Formats: sequence, C-alpha cells, structure tokens
Amino acid sequence: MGGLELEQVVKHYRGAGEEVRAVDGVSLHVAPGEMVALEGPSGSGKTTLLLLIAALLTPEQGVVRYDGRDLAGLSERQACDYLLRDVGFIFQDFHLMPRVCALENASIKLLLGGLRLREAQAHARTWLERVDLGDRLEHTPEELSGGERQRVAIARALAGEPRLILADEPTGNLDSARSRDIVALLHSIAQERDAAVLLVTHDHEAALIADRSLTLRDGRLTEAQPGGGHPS
Amino acid sequence: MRPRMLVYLYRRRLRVHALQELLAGVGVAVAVALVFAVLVANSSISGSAGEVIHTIVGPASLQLRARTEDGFDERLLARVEQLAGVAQSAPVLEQSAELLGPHGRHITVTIAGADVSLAVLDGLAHTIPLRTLSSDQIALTKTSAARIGISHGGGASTVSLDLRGASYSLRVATVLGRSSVGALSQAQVAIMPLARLQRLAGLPGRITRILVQTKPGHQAQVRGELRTLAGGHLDVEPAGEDLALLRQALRAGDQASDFFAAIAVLLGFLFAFNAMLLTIPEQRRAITDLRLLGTHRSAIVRMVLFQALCLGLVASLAGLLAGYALSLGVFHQSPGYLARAFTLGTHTVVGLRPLLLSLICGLLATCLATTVLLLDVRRGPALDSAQREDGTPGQPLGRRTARRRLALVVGLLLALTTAGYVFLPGFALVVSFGLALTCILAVPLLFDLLLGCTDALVRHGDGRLSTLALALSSLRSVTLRSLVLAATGAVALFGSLALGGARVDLLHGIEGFAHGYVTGAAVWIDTPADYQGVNDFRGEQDSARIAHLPGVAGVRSFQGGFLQMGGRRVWITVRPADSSGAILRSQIIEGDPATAVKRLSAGGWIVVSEQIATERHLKIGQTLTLPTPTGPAGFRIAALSTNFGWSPGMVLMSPADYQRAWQTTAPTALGVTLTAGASATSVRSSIERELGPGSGLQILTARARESEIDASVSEGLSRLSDISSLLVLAAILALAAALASSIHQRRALLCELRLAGARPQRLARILFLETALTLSAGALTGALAGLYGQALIDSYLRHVTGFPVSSITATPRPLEILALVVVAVLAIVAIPARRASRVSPTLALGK
Repeated sequence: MGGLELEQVVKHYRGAGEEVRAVDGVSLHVAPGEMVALEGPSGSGKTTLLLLIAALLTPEQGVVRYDGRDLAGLSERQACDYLLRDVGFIFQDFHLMPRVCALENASIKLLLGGLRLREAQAHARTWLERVDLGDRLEHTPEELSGGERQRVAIARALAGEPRLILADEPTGNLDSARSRDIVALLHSIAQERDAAVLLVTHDHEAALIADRSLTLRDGRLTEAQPGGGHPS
Repeated sequence: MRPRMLVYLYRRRLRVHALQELLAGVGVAVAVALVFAVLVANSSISGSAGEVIHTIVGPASLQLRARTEDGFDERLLARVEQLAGVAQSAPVLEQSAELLGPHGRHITVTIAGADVSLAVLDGLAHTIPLRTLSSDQIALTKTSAARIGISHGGGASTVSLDLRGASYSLRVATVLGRSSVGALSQAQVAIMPLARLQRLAGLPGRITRILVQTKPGHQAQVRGELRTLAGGHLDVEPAGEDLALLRQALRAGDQASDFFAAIAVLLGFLFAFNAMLLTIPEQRRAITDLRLLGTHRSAIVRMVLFQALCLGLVASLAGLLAGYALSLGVFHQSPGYLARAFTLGTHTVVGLRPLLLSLICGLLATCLATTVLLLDVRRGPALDSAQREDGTPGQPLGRRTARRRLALVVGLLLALTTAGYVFLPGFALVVSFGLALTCILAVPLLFDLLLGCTDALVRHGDGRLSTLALALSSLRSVTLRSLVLAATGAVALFGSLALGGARVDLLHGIEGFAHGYVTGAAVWIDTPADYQGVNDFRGEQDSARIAHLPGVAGVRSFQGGFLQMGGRRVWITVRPADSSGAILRSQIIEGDPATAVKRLSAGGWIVVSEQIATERHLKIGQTLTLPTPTGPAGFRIAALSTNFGWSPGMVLMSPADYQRAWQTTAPTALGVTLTAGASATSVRSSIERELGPGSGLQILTARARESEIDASVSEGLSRLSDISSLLVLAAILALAAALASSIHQRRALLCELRLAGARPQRLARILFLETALTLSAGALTGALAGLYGQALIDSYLRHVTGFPVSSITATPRPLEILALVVVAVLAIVAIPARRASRVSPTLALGK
C-alpha cells in the first residue's frame, strides 16, 4: 500500500507534571492522488500529527509509514532527504524570504536539492506559471497579495515535485474566496501529480473540497465524513 | 503621553527585549569609550603639563628666559627686583638630565635648581620640605621616584645623575608628593638648591629663567622694562608660554587623534544602528499597536526619542567609564620624545570638553539610529506595511535610478575629496572624514556589484554552487542590515588602514631621516636619551682623548638646541657641512642638496623647515631672522626641508654660524669616524673604557643610534597605533555581535529551510557564505577608501606639518587587517551559526 499510513500512533507531551496525549491512537491512510482534510480545534494535536508525518517527531507507539518505509527508523540524514525529496510543506504564514523575488523564493527547494540555478529557476518558473503567477516572477513578497504569496509558497513546495504535500493551515490568512481557490488548486495538483495531500485547516468550507475530511479532537480522530468533492 | 507612561512603556520594553537593548547599548558604549579615551588622552598631555607649569610659575605672569641651557648671569635678578612694577621674582636654573635609580631604571628629567624665593612665589613655602632647597641632596617628585623604583619617602636611596657629560651620585633628600608640591608631584622633575645645581652643571652664577610677578596694573610696563634688560639676547614672554609651545608641538598628533575620534563617532553610530536594527521588528509592531489604539503620532515620536535618550544616556555613561579606564590603561603615557623640550605631567586630566563631547556623540548616535523607526509614524502606508510585514527588518536596495543617483553622489563626493586633497592640504583631515562618509555611501554600490558578480558566477556555475545561490537569496532578504554591517566593517577598516598606513609611511620617512642623520659618523657620543643632540656637555677634552684611540680617524663636534621662535620651540641642529649631504638628500623638499651644502659651508645660510618658511612667506634666498642668544641674526635660506621629525620645525646651520651666534663651542654630540678596516663595535668599547663609567655620556654605534631614534619616534606615534588596533578590535566584536544576533533572529527562516530538507551542515555553509560576502563587501570598500585616506593623511603630514613621510608604502598591512577582520569575525560567528543551523524545524510550525 503506497502513500501515507499511520497505525495506532500515540504521542505524549509531559508538561507541568501532567501527561498530555497530543496524538492518541490515530490511524490514517492517505493514498496517492488523494486529498484529506484534517479539521480540529486549537490544541487538538493537528500540528503534532504533521510533525510525526514529517519525521520530526517519533511516536511513542504505533507506526508512521510513507511508501511502506517506517519513518521512525530514519537517520537524521535520511530524514532530511525524505523532507527534501518526498515532502512539500506549505505554511499558514507563507515563510517566504522577504525582499527576494517570487522566482528565487520558488527555486529555493530545488537549489537545496543541488540543481544549478538556471535549471532550478526554469523549473520554478513553470510552477509559478502553473499557479498563475507567470507575470509576477520578479515581484517580492512585499509586492504580492496574501493569496499570491501563498501561491508562491505552494509553487515552492511543489517545485520539487513531492509525493506528499503537508499543508498547515494554508488558508488561515486568506479570505474565503481565495481560500477556496488555493484548496482547489492543491486538490487538482494532488490528482494531476498523483500526490497525497494532508490539509490541516480550521476552515470547514475549505475542508469540504477535499476527498475526505477528518476531525481530530483531543488527539483522536473522532469523526470521519466523506468529502464534498470539487466546488461547484 | 505622560512621563509616567513613557517610563512604563520603556520598562515593559526592557522586560521583553532586554538582550537587544543591551546589545544596542554596548555598541554605543564602545564608541563613546573610544571617543572619550582618545579625547582624554589628547587633552591630558597638555592638561597635566598645564597644571605642572601653573604650579611652577604660581602667580608669576612674565618670565625672562635664556635662549640656551647655558643660561644668563644671575646678577640680572637684582636689576629685575629693582623694577618698580615687580612684586616678586624668583631665579631658576633648569637642565635636562638622565636619572638612574638604584635598580637600574632610568628616566629623563627636568632638574630645577631654585632657592626659597621660588617656593615663596609658588606659595609652596609652607608645604615643601626645607631640605629640598637647602641640602646638597636631590629631591624627587613622586612620579620621578616611582619610575626609577624609589618608594615614597626616599629613605636612604642614592641615585645617579647624568648631567652635561658628567655623572654624579646623589642621595635623595625627599620624595615630593601632592601635599608638598601639588601637581608638580606628577611631573618627571627633580629639584635641588640653585647653587648646587650650578656647580654640578658647570654653570656657576648662571640661571635660565627669572619668573616675575608684577604688581596689579603694571604688567605692560614691566614687560617693556624686561625687554630693555633682555637687550635682544633673552626672551621676555608670558610665564606660562611653555604650555602654548607644547600645544603647538602636539597639534599634529592631536589633530590625527581627533580625526580618529571622529571616525569612532561614525563607528559608534553604525554600531548603534546595527543594534537598533535588531530591535526594529518588535518596535515597529509596538508602534503599530499603539497607533491602532489611537495614540497620537507626536506621542509615539516622544516615546521613541525618550527610549533612545534613556538608552543613549546609560550607554554613554558606561562608555565614559570604560573610556576613562582605557585612557588610564592603554593611552596613559607621555610622549617621551617631548621630554627633552618640555616639562610634562604624567597624570590623566579629565576636562569638561571631552566629557560633554563624548556624551553628546553617544546621545546623537543613538537618536540618529532610531530615526528608522520614526518612518513608521509618517502618514500613508507605514502602518499597513508594518502590520503586513513578517517582521524581518530591512528595505530593498534602491531601484536602478536610486542606485544611479547614489553612484552620482559617491562620484561627486570623491571628486570633492580629491579637489580638497589637491587644493586644501591643510584640511586633509576634514577631507578624510568626508572620505569616511563617502565610504559608507559607497558600500551599497560595492555590495550590489559583489552580489551581481556572485550571481553571474552562480548562473554559469554547476550544481555545486547552489549553496552560494541560496546564500545570495538569503542575503537579499536582509539587505539593509547586511549593508549596515558591511558599512561598519568598511569604516573600521578605513580608519584603521588610513591612519595605520600613514603611521607606517611616517615611520619609514623617519627611518630615512634617522639613517641620514647618523651617516656622518660611525660611533656617536652624547648625553643619554638625547637623540636630537640638544644637551651640550664639556666635550672638548673628551674629543682630544678619543682622537688618539686606535681605529679613530677623526672626531667631529655636533651641536644643537631648542629656540623659541614665533610660538614654536624650534630644533636647531648644527652639523659639519660635509656630513649634511646625506641627510639633506633625503629631507630637502625644495632646493638642491649640493647647492645647499655649499651654501651652508660658506656661512650665513641655513636650511629651514618648509612650514616655518611658509608661515613667514619666505622663499629660498630670502632672509630669516633668528632670535639667537647674541641677539637677532639674519640667515639666508639655502633650501626648504622636512621638519626632521620634530613637529614644531627645524633649522640646520653650520658650526661656524652657530658658534658665532650662540657663543659656544660645547658639543651636544661627538661623531667618530673610523680608519679603514676598523670596527665600530670595538672602537665603541675602547671609547667607553677611555671615558670611564663616570662620564655621564652614552656611546653608540651609528646603527644603535639610528635604532634609538626610530624607537623614540615610534613611541611618540604609539597612541595612533593603539587607536588603530582598538578600532579593528571594536569592529570585530561589534560585527561579530551584530552578525550573531542577526543569525539568531532569523531562526524562523532557517527552520523553514530545515523543513524543506536542508541539512545543518548545508545551513551552516549558507550562513558562512552570507557572512563572508557581507564582510567582503565592507572590507573591500574600507580597504580601497583606507588607501586613499592614507594618501590624504600622508599629504597632510608632509605638507602641513612638514614631517618626513615616505610615499605610500606597499605593505601587506591592508591585506593583513582585512584578513584578520574577516577571519576573526567568521571564527566568532561560526559558533552561533553552528547552533542556529541545528535549530529544530518544529519551530516553523509554532512548536
């Protein structure tokens, strides 16, 4: 079975003498080409789950697998390679380099992968055009709107052609119309590139666009409902 | 906004951002410390000398002074006392001598012979121990005693006094502390009864000064009467004239130090600005919040200025303390080369001027550095941009037009500095400061150029340069801070290289002079530590004895001394004409050396420093009148020369002219020429044996004397060297601190790169390259401007002060300093960079 798999994953935090079960026996499978939305209130364990999937945390119990590989067994070097080659992260706050143009921002991951600048920028340009920013290549984040910034961030995450896209509240700073556009874009890319997308969001409207929508509460996946498919 | 609210907001800010505030404060304090230390050190020499002079002369307002150390007849005192307008007068005989302590330590002292009338005039009669002026012993000031290893009280110590070519063993009568002789205790002075000193110096019945206190309202009348008594053979001048002469002698060095103080202010501003940039994201958010709460813009301006003033004040006070410690520890030394010509104090004097100036500089630098924040108080998009931005400070490089304009301004400033260099050499130091400002403005251009070149390299390179490409992107995201960091390095390097380089050129020039100066003989005999040959001794008999020693071809007399002339204490140097050729060839600025030698031999001609001739609008062939001990005497100018390393200026004349005008044949140095094949070292030893240990003379080979001259001049320039090193050190620390903080502050961005899969080693390499590029841009600009600054200061020293300065010397020093700064900063920054590169990626997700 390909894609992302979580089996009875448990992660505890210890704080103020109290044990908090941030993730409590979560099992989940996101298949290639599938987009799964993960909803839940603040403190429900969404970000911890993302960190476990990114191999930045190790579960106390259970297994996190990507393409059949147990992520807990990865060395630091292998974990870096996993993040570089297989994962694309998209953040709520965009995390773009200020005062650096969209083309350069979108090239960063490719450069990290060892591509020559010219090749990296050529590839990044394709992705920026794909997210409708072909005419904004030389614009810096300060000259772009919130939606445009997020699209640069998406282009940057996708330029490396990852097979697993982790989006942490990517629409948190956007209005609802732009949110829908962004999520729809991610959805279409997931299908087109056969990538697994895990979308962490507070926005129920956005979650409805995903193939499946799950809710995380107190570290448990308490509810699962079929996705709403594409927006009409 | 009420004051209480201002204090509350600042306290809140300090609680949250204490570290950034501390860093900013340290930057300002370092600059204030540098400025204060330099200013205090500058003012201390003349300040402490002034206190000493005022203690010696007391209420005396006039003095009658001899034009040589041989003095004049003391019977003149009686005639002075008889003048109706004279209230009190006191005779003094002053000689320069070498004092050797019981542990072998020796110093140059001014030894004063006086009687009770001086103690009465000074008002010290009730405090000075009686035996000081009535025994056959010697009294030492506390400083003199300490420097030769005699403890307070003196006990039964015995010292050796080398005076005018004779050595005497004397018991120390007392050590004079502050309670006995006031500020005089801080001077390198020894005191003994007048009659005793007259005997030891071989000057019976002679004195060098009469201090005169006039009755109220009679000063002008007495001055006229004294002039009549002087008859053109003695100087009649204000009693504190020495202070004015000392200030004139110190002017060149002080101006160079002031220039450095100005550079330190610039650096201070950049240090503070660097540190402020670290706090700006938080401050901008705080300002935005306050504006959203409805705070009036003027209230925000008051808040920003209040915080800047608080920080500036505290940091400046800390800087003043550090600067004071620095002036005591590093700069606390009187220039030894002046000790033969002036009675110097040794203590640190803190005047109001350095205090206020340093404080104002600190406050100004802090306030100026905060002006960036005030941009957010403008109407328009400032509020919006402050809210929307992610908090990383810095603005983009200007657009092409802005860069063109900047290039135009830099070009214009360079043209102006060049014009100043060519047409206004007297303002070279001001022009150099302008160059420092140009250097700051040029940094963005060079930075841009460097980034452009690196970009081109990356575009044509292979995948191995992808780390460099990432470093470039990262660097562009914090352009303003990178520019300020680069500018800090640039100014520090500029200052250090400009003055450090000029110092090296000056030393090379002096070496050239020293080589020519000693060329006239293979072995030299003079009084200890008298490299200028200004203290005469009874050498006629010595000369005859030496002439008969094996290996000696001949013994020639050299003479000299100091002469007060138009507010300058001019060095008179007298050499046989045939030994003047070598020195003139390297030191003549205008005129022909061969012709000058011929004219000197003929008599009636002198070679004079260019600045003395320029001051009097005299040219070659015209007559300069010297106030000689036998009266005013006119000499024609044979050539114009450098000042031979003596800042007030120099006159070179033939022995015949000097002996006629000064009425003395006593040598100040004997030069021994050797027979073919004789060794200078063995002849030196045989002379030493012949003269015996009690001669009070030093015998040196030409090479050793040359080294002594070089060492003496180096000592005089050591402060410039110290300041230069301190600037580099301060710059290294400030750059390292700012870079380290900058790296720390960008952890969020680094986390994102870690999440994108960058390994810590890769991140460390990116940070290393960023730092190296920033430093290179600054260092390159500073090095280029520094070389130009060196040329400017060389020009100032050569044309305005008349020092013998070699042309710009191609030394590896600029490269050494450049490498030192870059390597040291990279080494320091490597630690925080390594820590930052291992930052947990979870931070990017808010964990």
